[in-house]
Amino acid sequence: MQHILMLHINESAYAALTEEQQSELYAEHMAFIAAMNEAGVKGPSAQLTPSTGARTVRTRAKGDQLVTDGPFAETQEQLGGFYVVDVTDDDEALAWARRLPVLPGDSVEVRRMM
Amino acid sequence: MRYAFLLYGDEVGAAALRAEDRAELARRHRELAGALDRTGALVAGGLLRPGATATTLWPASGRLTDGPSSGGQLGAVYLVDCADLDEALLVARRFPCSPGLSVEVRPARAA
Repeated sequence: MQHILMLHINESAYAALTEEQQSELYAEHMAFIAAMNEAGVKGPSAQLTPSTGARTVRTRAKGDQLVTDGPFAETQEQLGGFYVVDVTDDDEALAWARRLPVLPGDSVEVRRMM
Repeated sequence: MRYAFLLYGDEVGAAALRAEDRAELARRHRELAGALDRTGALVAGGLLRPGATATTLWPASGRLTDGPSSGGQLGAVYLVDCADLDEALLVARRFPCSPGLSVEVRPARAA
């Protein structure tokens, strides 16, 4: 059963990290990935680049599409990355979510994929 | 280059769709995913269960809340390899039109 763990972040908090803190966090993510691989649950994953570099294609009416600079919503919280895990049930997905390396202001949203 | 496609829609509008329209939308998503997969461009992705089914963990407090972290309008996530942003925007335009659909495109690093 595929679940997606979505890491919602405050981008300015990540931008404020020192290089050392960044390396440390990165190493923790690598360890998290290794653990998932060892458990045989790791699915696709990605780290997203900052929302300032996003473009959004908005469909207003059928056939009427507009491309805007920036993310879908200019909110404090943006999606920073995600991990797909292939687990037996919701509890197991949540257990992995608890192990995700995070900064204090982050949240991890867990959803099943269809 | 790898791009992430975040599909945001109007969940209320989407919920108001008739069952057959919803099924048709899902079918067209699978069709596009299949087409991208055949060219080798699709890395991963798919439709997500509705935001209401989500559980959000707030690590600072350890609390769990029902529902999505924010908005709740995120309906699908895809990772696709594209030559450049122009190609990525073309791919974004191909997603089936669900009510109020917006497709956010961002470069992604493999993790």
